[in-house]
Amino acid sequence: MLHTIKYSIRTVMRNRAACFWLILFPMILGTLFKIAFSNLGVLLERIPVAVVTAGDAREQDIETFRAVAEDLEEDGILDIVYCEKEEAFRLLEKGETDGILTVGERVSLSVSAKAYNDRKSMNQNILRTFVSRYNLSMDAVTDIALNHPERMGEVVTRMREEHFYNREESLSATESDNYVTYFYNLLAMTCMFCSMSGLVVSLNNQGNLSALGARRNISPMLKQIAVVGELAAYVLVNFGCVLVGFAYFNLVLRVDMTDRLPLTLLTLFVSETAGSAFGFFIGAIGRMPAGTKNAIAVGVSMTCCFLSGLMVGNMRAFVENKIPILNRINPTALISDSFYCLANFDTYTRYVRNMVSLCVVTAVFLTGGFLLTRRRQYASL
Amino acid sequence: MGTPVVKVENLVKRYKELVALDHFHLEIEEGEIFGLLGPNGSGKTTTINCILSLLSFDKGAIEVFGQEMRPDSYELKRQIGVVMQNVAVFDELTVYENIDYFCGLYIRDKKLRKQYVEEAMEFVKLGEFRKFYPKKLSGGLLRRLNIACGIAHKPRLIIMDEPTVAVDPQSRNNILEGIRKLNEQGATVIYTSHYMEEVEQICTRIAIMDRGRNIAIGTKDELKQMIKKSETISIDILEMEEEQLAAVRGLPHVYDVSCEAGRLTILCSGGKHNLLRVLDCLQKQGLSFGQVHSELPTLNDVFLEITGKQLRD
Repeated sequence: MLHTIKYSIRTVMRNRAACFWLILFPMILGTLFKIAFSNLGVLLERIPVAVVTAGDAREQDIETFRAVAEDLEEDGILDIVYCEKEEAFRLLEKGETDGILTVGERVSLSVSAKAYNDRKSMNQNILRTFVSRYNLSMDAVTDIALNHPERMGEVVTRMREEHFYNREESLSATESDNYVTYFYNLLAMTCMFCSMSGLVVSLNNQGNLSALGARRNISPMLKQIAVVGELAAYVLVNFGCVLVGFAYFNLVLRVDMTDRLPLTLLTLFVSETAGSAFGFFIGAIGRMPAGTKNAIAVGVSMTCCFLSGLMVGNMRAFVENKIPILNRINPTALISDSFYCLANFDTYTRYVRNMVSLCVVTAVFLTGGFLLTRRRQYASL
Repeated sequence: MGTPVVKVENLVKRYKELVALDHFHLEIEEGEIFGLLGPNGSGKTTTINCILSLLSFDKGAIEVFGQEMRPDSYELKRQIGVVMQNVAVFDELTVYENIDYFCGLYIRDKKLRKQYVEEAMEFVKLGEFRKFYPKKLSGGLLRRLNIACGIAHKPRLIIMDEPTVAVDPQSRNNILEGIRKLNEQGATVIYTSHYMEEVEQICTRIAIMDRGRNIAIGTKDELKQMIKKSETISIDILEMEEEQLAAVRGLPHVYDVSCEAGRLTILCSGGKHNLLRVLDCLQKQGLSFGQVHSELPTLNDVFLEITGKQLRD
């Protein structure tokens, strides 16, 4: 068996197509993901806004507004320019501000239609919400000051307090980041691409599918040994390839994918074994040409990737709502969810469930593949 | 006579309605270079695959070295070397590695295997290409590599299924010379081909196959004696009258005479000095003639006479 393993490792390591799909392709795609999605989750930029004073403004109104505005500037939400009306409109016209806040008895907002068309509407909405809330608060304070002046102190204290009825709490020690999910899916896709080498094991060992298979079948080597040896070699090399991709994402692209390295490595190993087993099974079915089987393996792999959310981010959630069983048997969904669990949950319940499902799927593929490739004699060649 | 190396009895192989082997019999003795000759589709490769237990069959029995050949006859398989019709090597392994890999399926001892691999490379003259990958080899060199992979473990029985298909004449001669050497070293060889010249050149005994049946078997001389024709005489001649043709027909051992497009063709059956008698007859008729050819029967003639069709139809 060592003889077979030795030469199988050499064979797969010199296979340029395998190197491309298992190493280069995920690296290229990962780099593109990094470029495309790395800004997700980064805080919004400050909203530039001009503040002008209305003719009827009282000193008290201006001071109150300035106090609130200073807080917002400190929080990094607004970037305020205090100026005259003409200057404010000039800045708005040039697009250097997203709105003008006019401070009087009430605060009003002026925005430009051009800025709205330039897709700056989100900033305008934020400003509008701020103005609306500010005016409501000021009305409430004025009303209470007039009708219940004795309770003014209590009202001001209450208004300074922010009430949250739900609390954000991390489920693990690490911070979760939505765009990292794309990299989990990318790793899952790489593992599924290992199906291409599993397919080769099937083809190379069946006398009715390839000349190499025929030559092996007429040799005195036990077929089970040949198949197990070659499969083991391919799984080892595939693991190396997947590790290269994982290391590239973590060390070069600086994507923080996990803080549980041993379990992540175990997941990678089980996952790429599942991919190899899947290809082994596809290769063992029927007598279709190698190209057709390869197309089937890649097609099914990509469909699994699609359903697990590689192309459309919320697809897995959609599948979970509509056909949850798909997520329990789709190897790609199981793989990416396992990585997600490791990164985001302190408990192992869901992770273990995923890994067990993945092992069962792998066992089914391997058993099917072995049953279909065990023959040494064929009805036709 | 000892136990046959290969014994095939009453073998029947059907592919649905098509009968590929029809009650096929064969016995091959040790030390022979046995030729299986027949047109494409006659059942040569099917016979080989059944002997190797790669292909199941519907009826009959196959013995190799006196033992029943089965898919799990690993000890028998260890003594057999096969050169398949299709080149079966790994594109990702070098010449040396390919031979070593296939030899390793039979020979576990590393030191012995290394020696065998070197000898196999020397045998097919691929020593200078040992680090080449198959894609860098020409068609002829690739065939030689295919042979080396099949024979490196020094098998007692070597089966070669059309090993010279698509090979240049020089490589073909090398391959045929190699087969002779293997036989001299003690290997029994089964050689299938639809090239009758090759089979005639190297085989000690020949079976002619057609439609899954063994239609004739023997040495090349024995096969040629099976047919009526023993000599074909062709003479370039300008014109002949019917009486002159009749005179030639009257000669002893002549059984067919035709004259078409300025060429007189005379078929003889047995006898000696047929050419002298024909030339003497033409001179007596006062006929002048050009080039004269005398040909002994070929295996194609044997096939033609038995089946009524050309070997390469």
